[in-house]
Amino acid sequence: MSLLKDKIINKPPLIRRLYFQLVIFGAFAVAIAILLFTWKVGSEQLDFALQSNQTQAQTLVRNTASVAGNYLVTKDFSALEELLIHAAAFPDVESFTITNSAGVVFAAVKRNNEGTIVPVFIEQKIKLPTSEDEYISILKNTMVLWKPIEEGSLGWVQLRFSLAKAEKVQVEIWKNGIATALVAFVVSVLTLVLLLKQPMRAIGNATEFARELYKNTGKVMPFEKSAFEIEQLEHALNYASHQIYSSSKDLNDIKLALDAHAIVGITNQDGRLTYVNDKFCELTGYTQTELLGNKYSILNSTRHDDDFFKVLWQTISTGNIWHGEIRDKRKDGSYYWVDTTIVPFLNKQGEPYQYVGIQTDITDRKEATNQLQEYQEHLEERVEERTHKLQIANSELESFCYSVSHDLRAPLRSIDGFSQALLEDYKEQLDEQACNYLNRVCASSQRMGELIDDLLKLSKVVRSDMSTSRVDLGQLASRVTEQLTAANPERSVNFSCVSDCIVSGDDRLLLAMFENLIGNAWKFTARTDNAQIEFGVERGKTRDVYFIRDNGAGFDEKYKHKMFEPFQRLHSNEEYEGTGIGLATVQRIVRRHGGEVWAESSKGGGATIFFTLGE
Amino acid sequence: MSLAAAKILLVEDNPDDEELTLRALRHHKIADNVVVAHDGVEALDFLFSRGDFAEQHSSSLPNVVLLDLNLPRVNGHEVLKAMRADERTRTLPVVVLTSSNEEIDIQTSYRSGANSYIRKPVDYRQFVDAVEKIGNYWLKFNQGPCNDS
Repeated sequence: MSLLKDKIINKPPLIRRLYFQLVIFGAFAVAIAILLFTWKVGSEQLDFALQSNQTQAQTLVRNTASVAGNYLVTKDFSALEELLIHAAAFPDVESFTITNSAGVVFAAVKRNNEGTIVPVFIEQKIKLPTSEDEYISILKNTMVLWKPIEEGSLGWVQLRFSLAKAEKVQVEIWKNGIATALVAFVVSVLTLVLLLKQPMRAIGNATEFARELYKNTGKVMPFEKSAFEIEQLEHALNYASHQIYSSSKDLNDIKLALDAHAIVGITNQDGRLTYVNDKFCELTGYTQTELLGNKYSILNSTRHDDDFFKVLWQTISTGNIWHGEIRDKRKDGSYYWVDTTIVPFLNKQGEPYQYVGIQTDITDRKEATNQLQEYQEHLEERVEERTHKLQIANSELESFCYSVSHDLRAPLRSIDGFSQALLEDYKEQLDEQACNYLNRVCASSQRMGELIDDLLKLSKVVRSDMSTSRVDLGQLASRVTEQLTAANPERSVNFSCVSDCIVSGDDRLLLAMFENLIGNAWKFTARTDNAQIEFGVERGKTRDVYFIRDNGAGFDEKYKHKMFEPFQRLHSNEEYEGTGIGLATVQRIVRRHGGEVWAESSKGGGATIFFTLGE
Repeated sequence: MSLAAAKILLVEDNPDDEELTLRALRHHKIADNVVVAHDGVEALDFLFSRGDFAEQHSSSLPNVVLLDLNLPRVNGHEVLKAMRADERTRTLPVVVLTSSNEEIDIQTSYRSGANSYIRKPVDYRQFVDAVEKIGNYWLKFNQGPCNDS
């Protein structure tokens, strides 16, 4: 980057500046164009002058030759000379010479330095043209023309014709041309300087602006009305500036968001930290200065083995992204877990030159997971432990009930038995009062025996295993009624029962429930004429409500909340015997089937016990 | 089988129950040949003529055993199992006479080979009635498997 920046030169040599090159080459081009034009016009003018001179000279030499022929025939040499002087009067004639057929000069005139035509005498022979090609020739600024007189038999006329005038015109043209070219060059330079000044300044500004682009300020170039291309350049630069700014702003925003969320650390090729964000420091407890230049191993918690890190390095050093969970150590020695992603940044050769590590603190989650795992691992143990405790409790309850049934009844039997023995064996020695007392002892012990039995039944309902099957409630109710009728043939009870009440439940428990419910109804209708007991059902949307209704003694609604408590009785023992366990047993059986039980006093006496058996 | 020759082995640890049972048997005049064992060990010693009963003739087995379940040292179930495991007492009638009406006791007893299971009623009159019926049934009406002594 710095190397590239060094190439920016503020004061280049003049020759290398485009401005200078354009001005100079532009002006040169104009000048050269003018010179080329001059050259063309000059040569055209020369050709034209030569052509007209030649025509003139040829006419002159022909006319002279024709006249001279007459004089040669007459040998009138003075007239001949006169002719030549007249003919030579034409301003561009340099000399006129007439020879004989052998080339000996007869007469000659020549223009002297003052411009006057004077006759000259030439003794020597002049070389004559041998072919027509030599009739006309040009030597320096002089055109030499020959004309034979009477086909050379009489002699020859030679005319030397000056071309100086034509030359002079050409020189004039060239002079004017060069002067024009010079003027044009200067004017071009000035014009180009003026014309290019603004675009060049605009290009300079654009360059300056482009030079500052890396600072990424998001500035926009002030727009200058200029040439189309430069305007386009300005637009393009502004667009680039905007794009760079917005994309780098996006990048910054993303970095900001990343820094706000994650723990970010960047290492160089060797794994040494070159950047850490605040969160990194916050989590590790190290300061930036302590961390920079160090390797990640400063945080190593020895939780992971060498292979773990070997795999990690192998992954990222070959340009692949590594993701995983690492436990690291803080400066204070405590541990934390981070969910880590390491992204290698590759250079043009595809080799990593830095690694960006993005981490999230997952210590809480990890601890929770570990705890959960520990719980799960111990869950079975706990269940076993609980089950074992429950089994112990159950077996304790079993043995408690067993000893109640055995050990509590044995003394009762003794009390009753020996009281009876007294009454039987020592009747004569006992008065009426003593017998009465002993009878009361017997009755009480027998009642206690019943209480114990009912209590055991209740506990059996609670602790016995449920074996669920399909049970016809109507059938159970009928069976109970039949038993009661058989046991009390003197009673006349009208029993009605609905059919088709198939439920899923434990038949033994449900039978015990009906024994209690119908037994109660049976008992409380003992003093009712036209006793009626009904088993029925009220079908509902979510559940069916069953009921046992009688027209017996009923109960006081005030105490109905007490009806299902064990040993609670709403009638005295003299009125109706019982232990007060029946409805408590019913409630437990119903609850074990997931149902509810409640009681209502029927209108016109009697009671109705409602129950449900689950959904 | 004469009544005089009839024998009952009463296995009962509770002295009150023992007295009341014996009284009920006496009441029905069937208590003459009752032997009482106060725990399971004693009962088995008597049946297999060992320990205190070593001198006893091996053929003098009772006609029926009235067996309580809740006994010290060796309980009623174990006594029953030991009896049924031995050729001599395999077929000897055993009536379980106990306070328990636990399902498990009833089931175990019958599976171990009990011939009858009677729960002692608290009401003494019912108890006397039950004892009389047991005595009469097993000693008078029932044809036992034992070879008569």
